[in-house]
Amino acid sequence: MLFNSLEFMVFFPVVCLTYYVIPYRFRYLFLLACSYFFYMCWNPRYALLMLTSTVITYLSGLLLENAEKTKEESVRIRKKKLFVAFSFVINLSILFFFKYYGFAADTIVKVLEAVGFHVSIPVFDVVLPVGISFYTFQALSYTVDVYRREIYAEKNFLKYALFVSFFPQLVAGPIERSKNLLIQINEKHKFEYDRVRDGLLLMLYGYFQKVVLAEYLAVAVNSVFDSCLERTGFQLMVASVLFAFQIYCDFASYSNIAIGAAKVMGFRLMENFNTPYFAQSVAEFWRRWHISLTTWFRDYLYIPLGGSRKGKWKKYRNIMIVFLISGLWHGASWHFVFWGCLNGMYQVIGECIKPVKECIVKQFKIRTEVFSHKLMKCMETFVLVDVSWIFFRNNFRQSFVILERIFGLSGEKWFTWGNNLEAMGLTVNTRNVLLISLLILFCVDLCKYKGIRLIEWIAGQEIWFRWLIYFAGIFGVLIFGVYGPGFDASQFIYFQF
Amino acid sequence: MAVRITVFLLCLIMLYNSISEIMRKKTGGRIDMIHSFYDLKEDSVDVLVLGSSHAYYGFQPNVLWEEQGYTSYVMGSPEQTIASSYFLLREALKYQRPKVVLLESYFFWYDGLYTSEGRVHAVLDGMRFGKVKQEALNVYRPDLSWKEKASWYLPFMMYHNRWGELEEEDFDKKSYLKGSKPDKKVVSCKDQGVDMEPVDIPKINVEYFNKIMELCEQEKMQLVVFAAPYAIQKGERYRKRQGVNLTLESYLHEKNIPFLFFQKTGEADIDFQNDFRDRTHLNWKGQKKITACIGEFLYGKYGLESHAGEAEYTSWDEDYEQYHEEFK
Repeated sequence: MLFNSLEFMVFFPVVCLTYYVIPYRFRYLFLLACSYFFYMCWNPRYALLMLTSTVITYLSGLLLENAEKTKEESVRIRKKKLFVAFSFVINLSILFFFKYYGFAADTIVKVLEAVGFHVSIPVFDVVLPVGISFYTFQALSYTVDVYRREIYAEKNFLKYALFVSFFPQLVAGPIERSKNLLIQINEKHKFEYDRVRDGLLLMLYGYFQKVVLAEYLAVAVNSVFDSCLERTGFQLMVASVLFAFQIYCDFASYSNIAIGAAKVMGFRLMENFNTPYFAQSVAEFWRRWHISLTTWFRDYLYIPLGGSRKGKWKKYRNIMIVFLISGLWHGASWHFVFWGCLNGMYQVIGECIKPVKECIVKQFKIRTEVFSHKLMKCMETFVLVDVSWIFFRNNFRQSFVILERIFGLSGEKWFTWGNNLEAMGLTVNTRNVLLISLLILFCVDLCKYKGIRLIEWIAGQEIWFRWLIYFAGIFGVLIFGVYGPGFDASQFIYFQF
Repeated sequence: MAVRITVFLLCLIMLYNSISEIMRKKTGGRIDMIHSFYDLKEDSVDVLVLGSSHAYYGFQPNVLWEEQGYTSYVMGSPEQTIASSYFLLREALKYQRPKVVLLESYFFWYDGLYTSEGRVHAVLDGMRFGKVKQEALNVYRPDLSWKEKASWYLPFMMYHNRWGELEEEDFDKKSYLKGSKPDKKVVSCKDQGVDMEPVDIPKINVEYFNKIMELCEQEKMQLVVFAAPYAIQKGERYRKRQGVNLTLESYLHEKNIPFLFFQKTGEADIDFQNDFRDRTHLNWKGQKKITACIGEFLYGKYGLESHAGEAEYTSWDEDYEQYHEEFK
């Protein structure tokens, strides 16, 4: 069930209304049933995989807590590590089999063939379970949190199952922490007008990002990238910039709808995007982009690896490991791995040349606090990130063709006069909607960046103005959105991960 | 809080309906035959006309009003099949109690419930949501899932992306034409007569026509069938279609239903050189002649009474003036 599907438009109001009507003690059971129904709308059998993950991590929690009773420290630590390993091995094996088996087998065959061995590895034609990367990571965080004694193990299996399967953030995040979400399951959520309104507004903004912005951007991006060999450098450059916004709108929209939907029911989910394209360095970009995943890697991989505490080189190694795995997490393909490594390299190189940069700043007396300097850094970061997005969107061969043409190395004409707009699959009307929508996106992000809480600001206005905004938002999405018959509700880009 | 939410939802629904209408009208065109029907005052129509393009190019309510003082409306749609006419009649009866139902016979030749999905939209998109719409959709498209049906019940889902095509015309309703389409074009045609072998009426049309008959009987309305003249270039195609009218003539005779077969009787004095807009449809002059003839036929029958000069019907005079201004 997609957030922009008719099914969800029926499902969500029914769930919310029922949620507030039924007694508190049944609410978590109801939400659990709804979450499994939500998931099973894709593939009922795959709910068993989620259930397996749930059972394993739930047991690991109980076992870890039980192990705390062991008096002898060495035995206790050994036991605890064993239980963590038990949870990780099983969960990651499932993830590996469904997501990476084909990729690994293919790679092994190719490598062996390259050195003269011909082998055949059985191939399983399995469909990637939706959201498996998200819920697996969420469930694993619970095991580690109990291991670290940051939370108590949850005794009620059904409550724990709801934590893993909570439908708003089940298939594309934010990847929640047990410390945050699990305790909220025991809270009694009353219907609070202001909170529900804020949640709905956030959802509306998410829908705007998805059905208006991301969908129109997709038209332009797909039409150019899908025939990149026939495109000029200029068109490819525009498409690359547009893709940066497409993926942002697509992914941030899902998070906003998820956070908004949870808020309507009284749950607080963590922020996932914080104006990423205003970042002034790649490292800052990653603190603002997919925050729930970045912090997951920080807490459960980077820090256990030693973080930045064990010297410069180990820090660089750790950054590279994290981004290599992040690349793999995003997709079982080498171009994703390369994309991850590129982002890791940006940061390592950035760290290495930091003294040089500081020296230049000092020598030329560059004023780092002024707007123009910040703008330049912001643009520099955008260009770096955008180049990496080309590898995210396209395979290696296409990516290099695109880069060659963008940088004018192909020998082809970089720009031709003619109808570039039509060539990008847009009309004057759709271009105008796109430009206005991008302007809205920019303004909203700028407000957020400047610390202006837009939803609160709107709520503080007179009723006519508030309603004007609500109606403009609702009908803007309904009229200009891409949906309905003839439109195959395109999957959110992040669903495949 | 509850009041605020209720008022908000009511405003939302009202706005949704208005915007939905503007978007949808693009399909109905300026005439918007089906939906403009709802603009009529309840129980104000004497003659309800049903049928395909032959009906809305062939009948002019303003002429009937001017000549006989009877009120009428054309609930036509392109390629309207007999089954569609039946559902439209049922829908119309929810708001009007006409004394006469006038059915144009051209689509008796077509063997099927509908010709294309677009034509079903022409019938259903302008229709208000209700039992008739649901039943009609179930008959036309039993294969649709609930989700697919939703886009039929909420045409906005289908038409919202027409925002780029809106023109001034979409906001300018020509309801004074009351479902009809007068056209000033002139195409010269040749009368091919009705000297041919009768052709059987497809079973599906007999089935739905019988339903129309039953309904008219039940509601005490007089059913009258008329066949607007036409000329199709290819002889074989013409013979197959006109041949159905010959069979229909005997069938209606048996059932004691009047049939105004203009091509056969020549009553309306249609001039094939000047009264057509294309080879199949009459222009405004032909439309006027046919309507005048039908008016004469209806005069004083079936409890019809002239409303000319009645205070409640002044809008009909105004509408006629508008029509007359354009078509002199």
